[in-house]
Amino acid sequence: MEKIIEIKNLKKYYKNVKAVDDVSLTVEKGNIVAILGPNGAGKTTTVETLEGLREATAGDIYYFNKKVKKIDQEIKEKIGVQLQSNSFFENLTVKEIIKAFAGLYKKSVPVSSLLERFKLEEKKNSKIKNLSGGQLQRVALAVSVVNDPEIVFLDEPTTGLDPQARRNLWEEIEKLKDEGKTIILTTHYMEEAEKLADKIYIFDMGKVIAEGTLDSLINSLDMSSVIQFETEEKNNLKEYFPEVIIIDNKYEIETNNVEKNLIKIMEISKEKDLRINNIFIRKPNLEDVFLHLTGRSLRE
Amino acid sequence: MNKIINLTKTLTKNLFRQPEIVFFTLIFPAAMLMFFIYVFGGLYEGESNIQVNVGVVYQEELNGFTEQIFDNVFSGFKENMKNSKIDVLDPKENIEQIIRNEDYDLVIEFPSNINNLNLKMMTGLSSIDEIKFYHSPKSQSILSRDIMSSVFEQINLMINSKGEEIDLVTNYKNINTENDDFNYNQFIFPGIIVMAIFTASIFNLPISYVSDIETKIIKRIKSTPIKGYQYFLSLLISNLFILFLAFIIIYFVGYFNGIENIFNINFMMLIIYYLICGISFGLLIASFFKKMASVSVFSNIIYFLTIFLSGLYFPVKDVPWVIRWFVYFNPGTYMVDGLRNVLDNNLVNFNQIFIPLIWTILGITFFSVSYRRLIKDE
Repeated sequence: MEKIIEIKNLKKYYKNVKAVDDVSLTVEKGNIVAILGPNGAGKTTTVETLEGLREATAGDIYYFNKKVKKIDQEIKEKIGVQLQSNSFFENLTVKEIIKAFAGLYKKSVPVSSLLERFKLEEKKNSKIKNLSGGQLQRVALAVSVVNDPEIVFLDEPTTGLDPQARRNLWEEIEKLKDEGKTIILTTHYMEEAEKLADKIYIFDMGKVIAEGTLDSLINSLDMSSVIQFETEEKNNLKEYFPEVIIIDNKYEIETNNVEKNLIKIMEISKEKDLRINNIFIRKPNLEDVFLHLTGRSLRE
Repeated sequence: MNKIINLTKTLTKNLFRQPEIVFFTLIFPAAMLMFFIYVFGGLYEGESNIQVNVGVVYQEELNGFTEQIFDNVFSGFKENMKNSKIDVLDPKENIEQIIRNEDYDLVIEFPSNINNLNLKMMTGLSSIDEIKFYHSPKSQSILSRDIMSSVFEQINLMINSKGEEIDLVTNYKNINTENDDFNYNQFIFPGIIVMAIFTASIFNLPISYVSDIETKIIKRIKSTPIKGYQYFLSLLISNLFILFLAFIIIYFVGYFNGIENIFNINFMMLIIYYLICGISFGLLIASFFKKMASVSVFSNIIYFLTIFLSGLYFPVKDVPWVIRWFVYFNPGTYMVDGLRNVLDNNLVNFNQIFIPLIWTILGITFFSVSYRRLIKDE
């Protein structure tokens, strides 16, 4: 597939802080690429460098297979941006904001079609300051595609939204992909990356610590399942299950042999009179990948 | 160009949706102008301390009862009005010139037959010529005339109380001076123009700019194909547009209240020059802040200090030395004086051009550095 963006050894240093440290990544045309990582991992700095909002300390950026020294107006005409915080004039209406941004590009999509597509018609005369979080994110998404861009950057687009609003926004993002747009999104929600991304880059402390498709990342873990359970007994649990991992007061055992471990749990609970609650078996996910790579939870 | 127009329209629309900006920029200056015109427009120039400087010219030296009466009167006057003075002048001096030079607020000329008052008081015979009061139309001069008139009324009462039917006749002579036609409306108009400039430059511009930084609107705009200078131009034009509307309203009020010379090309050119200075002053403030809370507090303090310590509404030559330094460094002081000079068809002096120029250079320099840094790496 055609490479649309490539970064080689990107660095962004601030005095004593290495916000981005030697990051390389590739984005192929028509893909959704997710940059996953905890807060402060360097996701936003990387994306903002690609958007031309920050200057890299070192490294090379390629757009459309051409090395670029500076993200100029020509590139900005072809990209759409949604910042982490929604920054609009709060006294203007939804329609006025979309129209205002449309006027900043050479090419733009009709405002009415964006209002219709993002279900904003009812709210078109509402002021920005009177919108809910979900509505505001829809406006931000509409503005990010107002110039019919080839590449759309979405920086934590669903942060702070309720599950329903988040799912609605995922649908919109998938529709953008169906239209052939390339999407780069940052997130700290593993479900979002799992649901949307063709390729995932996991960031931590300014570095890429893993990359690949969802399957390849999960397959890199040597396990087929995770047994999760809760118990009131806390102190001596490691004695009985040395391999147990404690996350958010829940106990997890990663395994390739579910039956054997389930029997062991039952036997020990009977023998030691342990009360086991909410036991269930799940497939490994990106959270497990991150945990294996860093020893920390993604949410920490 | 279209991008600048579109962005300017957006920024202007956003400004107009903020009631406080519309009120303080458009309505407040015009309301202040109307307030000052209607409240103080009919009054003469107000001076805080009553200080009367009187010159006395005797065409013949006083003697007898006449000398006694006037010595008593003038010494009583000096005792009661400590800041005032009464000097005896040489009869050969040109009295009208003394008034024109504003050496004295009032000159009283006693006639060459004033000593006939002695005879008149004893016999009722003899006549005395008029005592002349020379004054200018300035408020201080008229105040002096009125005070001394009442003193002479007292003299008449004193003489009449002794049973004599004598009336000292006084005659007023109004002498025009160079600055004789003081008009409060003319005085306040440049002040309101400068106030409007500072409202836009100290309040609106830095606050809207810092607000755009804090709410990350600049960052959002920077992610579009808009160049740094295009955003800055749009911000400037939108603020100037609202100020332009404010000027129209102020001119409208001024014109219908008979303020003269306001369409003088030199006056309007000087407004533009001071507008550039005011905007630069506002940009200087904007250079140092990135938080709305800080810039709002600072702008409020600087705005009121700049307005009240510049002579916009009242003279500041007598303010305590502790704050006088602010008056000297305040660009508003020179701006308002410069505009008043031109409105009175006088020339602006060097300081009225030079001091605002220094602030302009400072503002543009500091803002350029700060804005460049902001645009380079948000």
